Amino acid sequence: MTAGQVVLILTLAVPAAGAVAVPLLPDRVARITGTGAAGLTLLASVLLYAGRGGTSLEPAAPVRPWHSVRGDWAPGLDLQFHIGVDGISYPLVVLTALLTLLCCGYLLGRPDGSRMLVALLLAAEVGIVGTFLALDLVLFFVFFEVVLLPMYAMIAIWGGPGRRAAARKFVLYTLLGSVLLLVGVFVVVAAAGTADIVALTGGGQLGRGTQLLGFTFFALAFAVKAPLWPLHTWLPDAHTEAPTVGSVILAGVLLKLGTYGLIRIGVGVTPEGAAWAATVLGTLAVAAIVVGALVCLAQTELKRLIAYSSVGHMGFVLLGIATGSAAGIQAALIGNIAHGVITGLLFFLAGAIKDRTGTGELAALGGLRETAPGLAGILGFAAIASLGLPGLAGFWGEVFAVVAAIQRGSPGWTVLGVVAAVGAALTAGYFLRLLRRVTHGPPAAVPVAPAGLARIELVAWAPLVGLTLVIGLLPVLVLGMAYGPVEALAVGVGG
Amino acid sequence: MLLPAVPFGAALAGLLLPPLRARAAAAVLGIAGAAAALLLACGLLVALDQPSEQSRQLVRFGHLAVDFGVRVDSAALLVAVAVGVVALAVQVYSVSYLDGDEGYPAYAAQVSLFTAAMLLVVVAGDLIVLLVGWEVMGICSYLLIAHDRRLPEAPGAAVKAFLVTRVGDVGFWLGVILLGVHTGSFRIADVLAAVTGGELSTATLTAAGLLLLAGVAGKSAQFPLHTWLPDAMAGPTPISALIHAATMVAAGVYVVFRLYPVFSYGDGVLPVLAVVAAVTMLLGALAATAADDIKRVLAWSTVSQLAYMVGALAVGATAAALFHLLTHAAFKALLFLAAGAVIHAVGSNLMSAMGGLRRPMPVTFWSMTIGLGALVGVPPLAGFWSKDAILHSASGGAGWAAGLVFAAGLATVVVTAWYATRLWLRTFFGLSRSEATAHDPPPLMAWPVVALAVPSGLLGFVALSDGFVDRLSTPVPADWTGAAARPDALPAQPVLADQALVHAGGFVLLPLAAAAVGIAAAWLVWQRDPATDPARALGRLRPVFEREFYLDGFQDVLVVRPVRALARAVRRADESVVDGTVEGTGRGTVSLGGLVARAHRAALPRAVVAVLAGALLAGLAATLGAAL
Amino acid sequence: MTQAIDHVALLPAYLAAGTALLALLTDLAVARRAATLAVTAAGAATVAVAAWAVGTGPVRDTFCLADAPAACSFRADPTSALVATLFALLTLGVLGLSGYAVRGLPAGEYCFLLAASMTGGVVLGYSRDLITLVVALETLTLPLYALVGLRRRSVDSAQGAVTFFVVSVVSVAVTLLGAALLYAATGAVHLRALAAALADGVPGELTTLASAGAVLVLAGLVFKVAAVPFHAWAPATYDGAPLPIAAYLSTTSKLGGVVAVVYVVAIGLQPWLDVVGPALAGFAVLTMTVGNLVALRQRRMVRLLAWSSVAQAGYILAPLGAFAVGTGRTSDALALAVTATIAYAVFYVMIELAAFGSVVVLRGGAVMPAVSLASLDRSDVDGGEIEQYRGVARRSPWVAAAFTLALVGLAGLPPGLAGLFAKIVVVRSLLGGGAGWLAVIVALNAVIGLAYYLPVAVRLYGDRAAAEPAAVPAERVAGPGLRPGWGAPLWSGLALAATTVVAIVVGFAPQLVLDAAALVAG
Repeated sequence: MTAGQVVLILTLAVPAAGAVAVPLLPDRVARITGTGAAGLTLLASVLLYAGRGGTSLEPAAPVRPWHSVRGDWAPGLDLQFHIGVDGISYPLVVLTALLTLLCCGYLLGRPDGSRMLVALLLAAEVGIVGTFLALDLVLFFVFFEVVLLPMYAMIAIWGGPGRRAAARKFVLYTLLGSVLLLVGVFVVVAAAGTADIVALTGGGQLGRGTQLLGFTFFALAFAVKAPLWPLHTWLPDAHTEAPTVGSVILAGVLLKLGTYGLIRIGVGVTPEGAAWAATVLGTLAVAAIVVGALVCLAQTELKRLIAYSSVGHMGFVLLGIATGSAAGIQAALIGNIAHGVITGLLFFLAGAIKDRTGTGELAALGGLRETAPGLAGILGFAAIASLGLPGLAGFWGEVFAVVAAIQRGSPGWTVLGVVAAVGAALTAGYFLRLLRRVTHGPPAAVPVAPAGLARIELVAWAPLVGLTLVIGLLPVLVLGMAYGPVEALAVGVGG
Repeated sequence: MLLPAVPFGAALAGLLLPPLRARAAAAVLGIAGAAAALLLACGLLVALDQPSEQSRQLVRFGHLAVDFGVRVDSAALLVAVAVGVVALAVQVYSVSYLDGDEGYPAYAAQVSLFTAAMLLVVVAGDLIVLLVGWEVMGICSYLLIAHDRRLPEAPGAAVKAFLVTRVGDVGFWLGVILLGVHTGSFRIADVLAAVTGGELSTATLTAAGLLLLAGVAGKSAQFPLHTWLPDAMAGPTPISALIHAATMVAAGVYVVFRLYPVFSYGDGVLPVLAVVAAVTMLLGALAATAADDIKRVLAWSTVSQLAYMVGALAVGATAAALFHLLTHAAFKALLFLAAGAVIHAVGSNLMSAMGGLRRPMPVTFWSMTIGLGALVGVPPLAGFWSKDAILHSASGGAGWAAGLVFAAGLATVVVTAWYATRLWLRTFFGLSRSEATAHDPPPLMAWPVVALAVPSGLLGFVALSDGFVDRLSTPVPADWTGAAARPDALPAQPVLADQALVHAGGFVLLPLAAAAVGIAAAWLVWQRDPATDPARALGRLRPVFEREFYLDGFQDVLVVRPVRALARAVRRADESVVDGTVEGTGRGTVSLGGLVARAHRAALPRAVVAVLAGALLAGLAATLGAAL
Repeated sequence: MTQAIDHVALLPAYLAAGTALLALLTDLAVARRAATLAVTAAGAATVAVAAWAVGTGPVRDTFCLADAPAACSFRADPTSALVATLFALLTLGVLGLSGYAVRGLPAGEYCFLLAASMTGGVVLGYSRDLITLVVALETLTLPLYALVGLRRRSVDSAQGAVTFFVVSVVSVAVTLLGAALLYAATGAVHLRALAAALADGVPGELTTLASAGAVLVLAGLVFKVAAVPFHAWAPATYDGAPLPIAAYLSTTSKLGGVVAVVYVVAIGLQPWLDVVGPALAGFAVLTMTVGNLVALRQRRMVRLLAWSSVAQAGYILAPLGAFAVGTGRTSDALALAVTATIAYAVFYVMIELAAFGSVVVLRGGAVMPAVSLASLDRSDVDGGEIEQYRGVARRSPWVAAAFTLALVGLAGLPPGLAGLFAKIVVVRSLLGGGAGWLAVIVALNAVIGLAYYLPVAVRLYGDRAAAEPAAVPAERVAGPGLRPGWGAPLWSGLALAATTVVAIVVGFAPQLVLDAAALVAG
């Protein structure tokens, strides 16, 4: 077993061990242990970069993991424990590890006993990272399901007043997605006789009919998760009620399971299906952009607004994927990461504002730059980043999703690209409206306490602020390692 | 490549400064950043004899590469110098102007960022990089306009500024994307080579040109996207100077200059540009005649002066356009900073609260006089030379578009002279209408004003120097790509107008006469009753001008309200229809469960009957199935 | 007609029957509950070991027809061994849970009846003709009528027992009618002989008769698995029965039905899958849908579990529903479907036992000492209302964790990996058999299922108000009936722990179950 393989296993084993250990320890120790585990996971995930294979630009084998581990788990289920990391999954793995660590760290600074929350975060991390690493369809599904309950518990137990209904809606809706994924997985496996993603990528082993059917299920499943309009309505409720860390993980990485799945499995395994459904997917994605933006314009609650903004942003990501071209998929990848970082930050901030003022109603907020200038400054930064300001992380995904759409050349796609660009302008509209309501204007009647930023908050947010800037200036950090794999995928779609 | 980096570094450092007790450091950083950028630009201007281009691949999307590319040539450097001068003046001026403002450190950093963004646009060698600078400027303008927390209208104005320009930017984005997709590269040199090489269809070029134009109209405040600029006066006065003189609004004009072939090779793009310029020119000037807010007058004058540059571009006088850009930068910055001094002294923006300030504020008075003179085009001040060059080019241009620009330009000269005189008289002459005892500003504010008076007065003479025209001329693609130009590939396109900036002859008398008419008219009206506003002479048109042709209202009714209503409707639909379906499914399932459960609340006999019936049915079904 | 009887093959059945007798004798001789229980448990363990041991040996047929050596009534092969072992182990588990229960019940009768039922189950595993099958199944079921009614002074208990009895009798009658029709049409009762006869072709005028017979046999058998429309007895019966017996009913009795159905379908009716396929698919769809829908509206814990077990029966039958389509009737698909059914059943019984075990332990045993019975509220002696479980995790974290794991497993989600794999098995076999539409229905039902499992799990942890210092002591909030988890007898706790551990182990190593289930198919 090589060092790379050991590290690969550690990225899953460490949080798993942490999730098991944390509930057994007394609160303070448990939270420190959990944070430590999350830290080690981040370290392990970063180390995965070392010793990677050459990132050749030639489209060779469609999936060429840098490191991989393969072992039989349950052959009777076509289930292999086959995990690996490549340029497509690596940034997402690191992002997951980072956000989990930040959330754990953030909880360290909270007064109440929240060790179970730490345990759930780690459990969710296992599922999310596992999904990104899985190179076996059935294993992918298993990890995909692992995420569900920890997330549910986070919302249902630590959420706001409407948490029950929101959590139920979340879990049932997304379970609906994942059972359809299960059906899709076995549509493919039954036809191909294998669940190995590496072998299946490119779709060579599958007939056209199977690909179309399989992709239909995959698309539905991932569309619920991503979420794609009109399958998105679980998201605003879940976000509004979830505790801060829950929202951060939910928006930051959970939604990426859908888009990643669509890239890795939808486009990878059933490329003909992806090409066949591209127009529908693209149209819905653009609808998501526009609807998301318009709903945000009329939204009155802070977290709900950010949640709907996610619908719009994921619309750009899905538009990129729908084009099926290398440019589009790359746009989707960087859009994924950018959204994770920026919206993660936004939810941290929304949580901080709600903690301080006790309300998330825009009408009740105001003048934050007078009462809490630091908070207002970071909120302004995050909002500006989220509206896709060039030079910050959010820009690349949006503009190149539009580029990819226009590159398709047909009038229909051009129209989609143009509408998406208009949607981007609307995005600016609602974020400025948000800033105007929350930070500008006369100070609101509600007290803001404390006005300053706690050290733990700064520590938790600074990496996100920094990443937003760094990815914005050097997008190649995220995309450089994905050139080869993405082009190989795009060849399959013929885009 | 260092050029934008310096102020950017200053901005970054400035934003990270601890907010308290950082005033001095912030001031030093801001000033040093601007000064370094200026020095660098000057140094390069002197040292550089050949255009130089450097680039590094930033990232690749599919086969489309994005380079961090900069291209420095003398035209870019001249604009960069102007940016540096104005930025430095503004930074120095702000130290004093924002004395006692808690938000100063952030402000100074944002000004640095603004400068950096503009410089990035100026030297960008890649369309995406250009876009970055372009949009960062937008957000800086937003932040800075909203800076003044005592003004309730400031946040709204800031939002308006950003959104209106953003609407235009959608077009700009799409134009850039269209060019990139069709030429396979975002590198400006490649794009221009492809354009002049005839690789793109005319339709594509036209589409791209018009789309880019939308962005230009937004940034450079051209009709119909000009509405943000007057409102942007809610920002601190130095910011107005910065926005109006060197950054933001100049960017639009500069980009047309930089990408000129895209516009000139397209079909019908230049005439559109001409119409826009003509409308904006008059519209801005007329709106300026009735405004009472001194900054608003200057703002409308910016709108109208920018239209001159756009008009010059429309008739092919690119050098004249850029020349006017430079002179305008000097005198408009001067005017705003001087107006700031006046406002500082009087405590009000309104001219109805000023008057008779000539004596207590001599430095300001003389500076302002130079600035206004330049604006009107009084020889030998800077504005005279550049405006004359534009009008001359337009008069010599062929086609109705040139004629339109010329006619509108000449009419605007009259109006400009009229409102400039009105401003001059209302502010500095007559009786004082304010209780405050006015005095000249403190040195930190006075120096920049005086310093800017120099180029405002003398910049025009540069046009006499040899080679200046060449420095300002449109980039020739061959020069960009390093390949030999292929004249045979150039389709017959509107040939660039006469690029010469200086003309001898009777023609100069025409604009001079026009200006004299305007001045005289204003003076005559004012003289009859120095206490009242000469705008009264406008009669019934006055409210129309004052309300700025009700365009804000149109914009509100045509765009803002429908979008808001649509947003509300979509939200309702999303909640009741889309989510309603989901919730309904859930509720439906549960109530179905209730129904089925009720059916099961049966006593023993019915259970037995159910079993027997089930068996019977199953048997029957099988029997029938077998029989068929 | 003389027959050579292979007594080795019969050994597990002998031992099972002996256990029953021994339990009765021990009770008479020693009259101590612990001793009776221990003897029965030891007997069940011996049966398990013996069945396994015999199963590892060569295949042994006995009670064969002299003229047709392939047609035997009793066959000891790995399949039989697996089934017999499972029955013995499940009985052992239920006995463990009964530790507390028998205090209020006559231990001798209790253990005897349980062992007798086990005997039926063991014999069922070995039986290969319709008559033996029905007899074994009745042996499995008959003692349960008595066990269900064992809770004295309980109207519910009596009512449950009567319902169970009457409906059961009807269903047996239906089965026998079906068997008779089949016999009339083919002249065979042995499953293999039946298969041969059907494969040879039934005379045209008898086809209708035979197909009705086939479906009626099935209809009677699915009664045992409580499939719709033969399910109405289950909720009332479960709720009326002592908790360990409810657990037994929902696991062992159901397993018996599944085994019977699989034997009949996969061996006897194999040539006629096109006839029984649609019926099975119909049963499966109806069962899971109705079970899930009704479970949504349950307030009482045992009723919820009962309805959920109805729904689970639908999933168990679902793979067999693949026979309704042509691609599902190939021999590969048949093996896949049978494996999936058995595997799902095995996963299910483990998790279900753990769920009931948790309820038993949380409720502190099903039956209180008789003296205190009158003074206690009705809810003390059964599963109670779901609402009464609110916040029990605070007092019994481990039991609550086990219960949660079981509930989540039933819903088929991680960390209940066993349940997840069970779901995967079913979907895989359905798609392998080409019945994609049925897979989608299963998938949708899984979503409905989660809608009622999760709220229960959340209640265990819920009620933050009780955690606040000012709140009423949890004891009073929960009502007097809920005993702290550790107050339950050690044996119940151990049985629960063992079941949970087994469920976790197979969750990580599902291949064990799949291999075992593949034996049945092979």
